[in-house]
Amino acid sequence: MAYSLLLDRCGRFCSRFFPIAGVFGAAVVLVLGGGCYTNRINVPPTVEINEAPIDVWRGQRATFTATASDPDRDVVTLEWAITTGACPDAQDPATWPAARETRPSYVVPSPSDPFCIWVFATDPYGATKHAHRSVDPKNHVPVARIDVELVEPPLPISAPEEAPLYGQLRMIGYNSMDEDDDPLSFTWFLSASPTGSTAQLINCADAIDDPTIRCLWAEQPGDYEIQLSVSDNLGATSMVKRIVKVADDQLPCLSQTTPMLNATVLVRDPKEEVRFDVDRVTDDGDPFPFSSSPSSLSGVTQFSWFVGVGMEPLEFRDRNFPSLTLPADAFTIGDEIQVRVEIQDRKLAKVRAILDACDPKAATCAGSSGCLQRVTWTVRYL
Amino acid sequence: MKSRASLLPVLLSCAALALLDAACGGSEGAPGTAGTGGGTVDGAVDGGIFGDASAGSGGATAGSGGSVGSGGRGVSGTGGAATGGTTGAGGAGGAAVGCFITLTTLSALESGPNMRARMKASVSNGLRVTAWTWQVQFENGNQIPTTPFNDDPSVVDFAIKSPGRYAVKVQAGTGIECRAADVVVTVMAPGMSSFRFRVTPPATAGLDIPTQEQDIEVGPDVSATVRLDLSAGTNVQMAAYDTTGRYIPAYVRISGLSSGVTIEGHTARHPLDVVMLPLAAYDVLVVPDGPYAPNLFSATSAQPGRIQIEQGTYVSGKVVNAAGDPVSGARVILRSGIRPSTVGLSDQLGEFSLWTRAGTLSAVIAPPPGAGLPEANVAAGPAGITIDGYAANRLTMTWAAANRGTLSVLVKTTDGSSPVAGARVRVESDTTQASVVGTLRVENASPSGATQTATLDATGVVRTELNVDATGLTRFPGLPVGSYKVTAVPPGTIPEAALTTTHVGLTAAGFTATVPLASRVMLSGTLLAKGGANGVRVMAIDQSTGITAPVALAIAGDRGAYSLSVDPGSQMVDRVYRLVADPPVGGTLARTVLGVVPIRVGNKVAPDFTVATAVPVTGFVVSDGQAIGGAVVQVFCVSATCLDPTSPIAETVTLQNGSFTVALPASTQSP
Repeated sequence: MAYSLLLDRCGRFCSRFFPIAGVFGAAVVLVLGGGCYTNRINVPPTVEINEAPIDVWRGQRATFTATASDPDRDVVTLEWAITTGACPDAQDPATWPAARETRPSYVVPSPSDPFCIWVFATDPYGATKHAHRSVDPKNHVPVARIDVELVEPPLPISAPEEAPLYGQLRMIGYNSMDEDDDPLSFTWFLSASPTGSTAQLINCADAIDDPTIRCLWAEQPGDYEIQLSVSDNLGATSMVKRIVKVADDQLPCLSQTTPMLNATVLVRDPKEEVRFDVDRVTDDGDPFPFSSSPSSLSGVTQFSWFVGVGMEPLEFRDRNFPSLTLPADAFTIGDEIQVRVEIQDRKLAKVRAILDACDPKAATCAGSSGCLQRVTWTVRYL
Repeated sequence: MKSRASLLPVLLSCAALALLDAACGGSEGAPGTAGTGGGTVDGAVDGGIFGDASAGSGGATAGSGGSVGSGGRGVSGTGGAATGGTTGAGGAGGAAVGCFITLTTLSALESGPNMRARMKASVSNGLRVTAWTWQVQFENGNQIPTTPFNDDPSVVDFAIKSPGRYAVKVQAGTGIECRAADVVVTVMAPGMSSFRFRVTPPATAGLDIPTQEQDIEVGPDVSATVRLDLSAGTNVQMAAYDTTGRYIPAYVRISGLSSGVTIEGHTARHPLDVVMLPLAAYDVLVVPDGPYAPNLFSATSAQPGRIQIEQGTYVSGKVVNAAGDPVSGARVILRSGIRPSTVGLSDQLGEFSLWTRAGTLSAVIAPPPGAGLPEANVAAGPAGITIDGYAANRLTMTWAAANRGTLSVLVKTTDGSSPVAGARVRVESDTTQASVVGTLRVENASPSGATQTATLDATGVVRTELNVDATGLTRFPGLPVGSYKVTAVPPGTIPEAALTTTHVGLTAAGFTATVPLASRVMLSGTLLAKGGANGVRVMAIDQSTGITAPVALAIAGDRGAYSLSVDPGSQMVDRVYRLVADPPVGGTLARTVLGVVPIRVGNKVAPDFTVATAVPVTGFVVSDGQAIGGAVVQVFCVSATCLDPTSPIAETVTLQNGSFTVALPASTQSP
């Protein structure tokens, strides 16, 4: 009870010294001798910059906090400042930054170069302590990435992870990333290509000045290994490899004709000409007709036409044209005429082998893929 | 640029013409009643479209006294509506049509204050026309007067002061019912070119979008963007059945009345899968295998695909020569427009039989190869062959007597030194005028015992073909004396040899023609083009009938010079080639039909031709808002002055986003 009364009398000053046993006697003397003496001694606060963030990244917002306390339990005001470069020896107040911002924490929005972060803790009585920390923002290494698009031909192929032969491949590097948003430089390299290939990475026709894009004509089947090195302006570099599989040559396919592919029997008047057209051949290298932007490796489909009367063997008629016309008055009523078209792409021997393996009397001939290389129509003249 | 949608042809025709009563919701015909005989309209025999005789729900033209059931329903009587084309046929729809009228545009179709269009009508089967009735209506409904040209009522002129659509209808008085031709011609503003875009979507499963066409006008030297919006279709499985419901394998052809789109196939294994536009009208020709008469009728996608086929009318007959001896191996066919009968093949006794549909028909009697007899033709019309659905019909073909001789043809190498085995020889009468070659006697014996007979003239020309033997010789015995054109087709083993035509006179004593094969000749010339024509492919396409030469091909070199190795004509007859320039894709030039060049013997220099500059036309193919990738886009010239409206002047395939670019000829040049 007596101690409580003492506290009441002497207020905070007394209580502060209460735990200190060694000076307890002196305190008692002071209190008893001088009554309640209120001109206490102010103790400055303490402050430390918290450890987080441990790593500060270039270009990335960094938030600094501090832990401050005041032995007097005074309210502490924090002021922040940054100076460029490493922290100086801060014993000399002259080296302390004058421009400070009062706030509980401090945000460096986009650090790039080394800096010194300062925090000053001041109590209401003007007692100040500071802390500082040298920060050297770290640089992100860019992340290289290659995406691959097929420019031509717009041909779906059976293996979706493969690109068709004779197509133009577009290598896209612009999805490479640098978290620091540093300017990047791109270095492309065709590190491996199939045997016999003379392919090179070239500027794409529609993006000649764009270093993030390169094109490649896939003129041989197999694996093409493309490397992309991406560097930022601080010399940080990453490299990525991408293997593009290019499919084997595909068989040319009769996709659309007039008369239709499945109209194997036709009825016509002998006084009318009968025209046969190949309207579309689907192929990787030798399509017909071309799409709007034909490949520079595109070739020419060959059309071979044959005509046979009745049961007679078919005779070769023409090769130059995707159509054949049986003229009017060439045949008479009751005649049955066979009209056959065969297509070939640049791989003549490959297609020839399939055609030769087919039953010559069969109306159609197809390779293992099921697409047609030969169609035969029977024209019944009535 | 202006789009003239023909994707919904019936609607368009209805709007322009208000002529298509049945297709446009006009009144349906009354159900047919059982006939009492004597009906002449064979279309009624099958009881209407898809065998719906009992329904009897249409058929404007079932014909009086039809034998069974009603005529077709719905769309019968619709005509073709070829837009701006050179030829518009009256179509073949309807169940009761005896002949067809064809309209041909003879002039350019470019509007102007003093511009006039000229059109010619002709009727099928060689019928005699006593009167022509013309009607021309502009798209705003105004009637346009017509004026006979040169006092010929089958040819008329009419003013085309304004660009737009002109509906032309013509009827012919022939004594039998002919379908009126019903054509919409597109008249362009000066300097505009009209092109027909045909789009065939990829055969992707579940993508029920049929091939469709749209006419687009493109101005000179103006790039354009077109949007081709495809309508979804209705899938119909078409198959033929007899009256007992038995499946009959058949050839089936479905032709759009307002477009060149045709779907055809044979139902031997399964019904024909057809995607039809919901509002369009189609002609359907069914030619069953076996003893069933083919049939022709009109249809829309609304009808089911089950086609009921009655067997038709049985016709028997005999084929004899002038001495009355039977001719075996002759083939006989009766025809009504595009609808044939079955083929009758004469046996050792000259007897034949066939199945047809009642009506007034034409006939073709083809002699056996090597018989020396001419092919005989009998026209339809009032004096044509009447086939009675209830009578016993019998035909007797008798070839006329003629002085005859044997024509021998010996084919030799180009230097004349040795005979050529493996050659083929074609012999044709050296005239375009058919002469009377015999008579066809028609007998209709009714069940009552009365028999009607008629004897009709058959006209024709000799046209026969044989292979030479190992000594290069072939013989055509029993040919009527006269003049003949002889064409030797060299075997493939002599690539330097050309089709060789010569002319001979045959007497009763016979004649042996020695035919040294001709060498190919050079057709050369120069292509003119903005920026040069170096690298342009030039093709020469033979326009002959009977036998045509292979397409000749050359690549234009420096300054556009080209040289084509072609087959010559003869001393008396030109061989005519159509020259086509086909520039590389993606260049500045467009595919161009350059012109036609006649050639006889010896090398020839063609006149200079200009290759049209390309105007890039970009576009998109969509359906129901979705891009259609992988669609084939073909572009045809549809101007009246087109040299070849049937060959595409550009073609491409849409990218996955539905876009495409085609190079069309600039200016008003006719491709």
